[in-house]
Amino acid sequence: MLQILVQVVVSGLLLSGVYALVSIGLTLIFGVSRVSNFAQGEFVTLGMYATYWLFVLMNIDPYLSLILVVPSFFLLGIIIARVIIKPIVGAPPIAQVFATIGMSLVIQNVALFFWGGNFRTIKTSYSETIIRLQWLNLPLAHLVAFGVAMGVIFLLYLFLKYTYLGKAIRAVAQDRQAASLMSINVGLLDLITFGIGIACAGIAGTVLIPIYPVYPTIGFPLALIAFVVVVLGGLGSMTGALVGGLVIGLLETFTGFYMGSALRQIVYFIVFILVLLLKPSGFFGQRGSEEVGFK
Amino acid sequence: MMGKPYDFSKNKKFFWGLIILVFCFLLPAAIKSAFYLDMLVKVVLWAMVAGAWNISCGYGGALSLGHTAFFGIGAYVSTILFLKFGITPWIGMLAGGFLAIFFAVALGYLSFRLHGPFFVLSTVAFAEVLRIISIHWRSVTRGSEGLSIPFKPNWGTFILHNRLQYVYVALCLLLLVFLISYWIERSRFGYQLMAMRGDEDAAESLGINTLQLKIIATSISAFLTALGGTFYAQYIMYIEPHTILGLDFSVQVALISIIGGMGKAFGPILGSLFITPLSQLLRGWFGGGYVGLHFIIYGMILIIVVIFIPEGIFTAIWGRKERSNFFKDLISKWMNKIGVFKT
Amino acid sequence: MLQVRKVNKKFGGLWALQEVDMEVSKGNIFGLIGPNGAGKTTLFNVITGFYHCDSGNIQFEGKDITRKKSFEISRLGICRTFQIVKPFKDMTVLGNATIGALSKVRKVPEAMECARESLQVVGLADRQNILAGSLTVSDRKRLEIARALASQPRLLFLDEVMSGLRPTEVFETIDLIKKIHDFGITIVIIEHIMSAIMRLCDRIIVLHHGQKIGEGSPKEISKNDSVIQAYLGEDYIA
Repeated sequence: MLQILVQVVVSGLLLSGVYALVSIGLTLIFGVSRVSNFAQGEFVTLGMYATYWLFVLMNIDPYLSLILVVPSFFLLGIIIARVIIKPIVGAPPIAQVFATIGMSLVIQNVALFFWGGNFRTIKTSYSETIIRLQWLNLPLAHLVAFGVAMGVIFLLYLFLKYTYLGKAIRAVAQDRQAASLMSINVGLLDLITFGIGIACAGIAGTVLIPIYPVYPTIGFPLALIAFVVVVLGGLGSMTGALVGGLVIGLLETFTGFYMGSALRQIVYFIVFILVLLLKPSGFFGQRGSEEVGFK
Repeated sequence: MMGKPYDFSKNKKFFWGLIILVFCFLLPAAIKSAFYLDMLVKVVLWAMVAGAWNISCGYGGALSLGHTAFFGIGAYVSTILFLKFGITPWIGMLAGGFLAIFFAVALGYLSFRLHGPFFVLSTVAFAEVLRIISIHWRSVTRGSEGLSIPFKPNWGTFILHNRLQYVYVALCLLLLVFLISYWIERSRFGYQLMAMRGDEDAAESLGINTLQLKIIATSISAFLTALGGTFYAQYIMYIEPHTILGLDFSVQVALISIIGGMGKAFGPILGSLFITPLSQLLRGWFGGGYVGLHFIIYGMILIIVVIFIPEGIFTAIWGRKERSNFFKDLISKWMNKIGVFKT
Repeated sequence: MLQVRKVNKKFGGLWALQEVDMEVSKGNIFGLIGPNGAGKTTLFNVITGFYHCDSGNIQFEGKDITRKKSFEISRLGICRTFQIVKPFKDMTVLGNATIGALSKVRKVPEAMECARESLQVVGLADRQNILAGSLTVSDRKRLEIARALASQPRLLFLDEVMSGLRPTEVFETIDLIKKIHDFGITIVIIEHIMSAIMRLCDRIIVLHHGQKIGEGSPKEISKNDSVIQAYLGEDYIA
């Protein structure tokens, strides 16, 4: 019994790493630009497709393809930020919401249009490997996903804490006006942060494709989960996104195992309601939440 | 315009309104083609549902992308009551409406603590949960297989004989929504809704109970949307979770209202006249291998409209004095926003 | 009319209001002054229900309004303006004022009449069909006053309605406030413009760091040492 419990916990943890990564991208974008990127899930989808095609067409190992995925998604993020996000920073909520939803619609359907609705998976020589620690099953792909996610999060943490650019980003998140008065190019940072957020999504996609199949609408539930994680952990808080991701990942695996897949799909939603009722500002965050109104 | 005295006498307006109404009811009889009648049904239905959305979201400013939940509730409740208990959908329609109100109130109390994008998100989440429930609650909803209504025409059971009859029922529903919107616009309720949309704090300082107002507006909206859901079920005779509880529906409804002009009774009608035929045609042209192309176009329209013309295309074009400058303004606005002119 | 007793309000670790007492008599013009950050607007917010105080008691015309919500308080007869004006930008000037009127009047045409009267009083009647979003700052402030006036308050809170105005506009506003007072409305104003405060107010209360450091008539306040020390700098007699 205990063994099963531990197995479930470990599986949940492994999954949650990826949730945390996607959510951190989201919360970063929100913290700095106050923009809620409803299309965050779609960029994970794009990451999955990109890795898929690199593997199928050019035989590039998914984890190696990170070398290509990271910079290209970062660049993609900057371009999109310039064209679509920049006009909606500070715009009324309706503009923000519908612009990013419009983006999500476009991406989903472009994927549908070009690549069809079929589920596509990757099979590498090691994607089926399971490492066994006595009675504990640790699928290699899951481990790598978790490892990469944590690694990226750690790197981001170092970046934000110790580099000048990172500190500038934190400054903008705390007080946009003050930061601009300190000759920080806030507009440029909006772009960079969005690029980072998208790159996170892309990385998440890359480590997910060896585990899950990709299809055009896989991003949507992910986006919802990411939002719940962000609300749970506190808007704009990186630690919150990390902890929130862990909590949700664990909860989901637990309910999935003990209570069936139907409940598993809506457990995040139940969490959402509970958070709304009990502690709307989340575990760690208050920043930005006044503007989103948790009175 | 708020507070503006009417330019022309009320009688003249009423007279023209009547003419248009009569025209609307006579025109369908002249159409013989099944394709165009079907299109007409859809245009009217979408105008009606978008109009319902407009009541809580256009006037009240509480942007919801979860209205598909109310639509789905209406459709499922009336259909299940009919198939399992033989209750005529004319009554089932009302039952669906009331259940929708119940959900609107319950979820409203939770969601209205949030503002901006997070409120929108919560509406999306609620609708999504309903969709998942309807997929899994197979004993009641038959899950993804959906529910079919057998074709036995009978006015008593809301199964009509031909498309023309559906057009008329749809027109009546649209008229209902339009009259309600029209009344709201000129009533104390409507003024307060619009004030709340303008600035909530200021509205509260002037004695407006914003929470109550939002819930009332959303309830009205939910009820009417559910009516539309029942109509849809009775027209298409088949319902399943993906179409009637999917995000696509919510987005289309919102899109129609936004493009046509939010916060105006006519807005959704204009929006539907523009969008519905467009979507039908796109679906028709790009059938088969080009699935989803119309959504790409939707998405792009959404992005463009929302960034540049928040007041709705029609109000923007028709309301402007210099129409020729409309596109020039648009382009220069975009260039401004992305900072092309920044040194 | 209004009794505020021992109100405390804390934000995180900061005491915005400490044991503040205030009593406003009917028919007065009451001034609330103090350096920036003294807690004046916070006090307004607490009284009018936008914040709730941590402890203390507020009574209006015999009713306890300490825990009431802002719209309830408004319906009881207290109305306020905001330091940073909040017009309903997409509505016309008349529309804005009508919202004020609608808090007491149920029918829209009647409310519009009431609104027109308020606009007359503040001098915006000629511009009733202009969108509020396109008004100048000083007009927006006047609109905010008109809107509050239209709700037929018995107690009106004005929060820095003269800030950012030119001297001529300040004089006009002083006259406006006097006119409103002549209607029988009790007024409490937060202001930094000393000449206005001294000229208008029957009683003044001074806040500093969330505490009341002085209370009295304009003459008394201008001679109060601790007030002068904290705020005025020089004697300022009307």
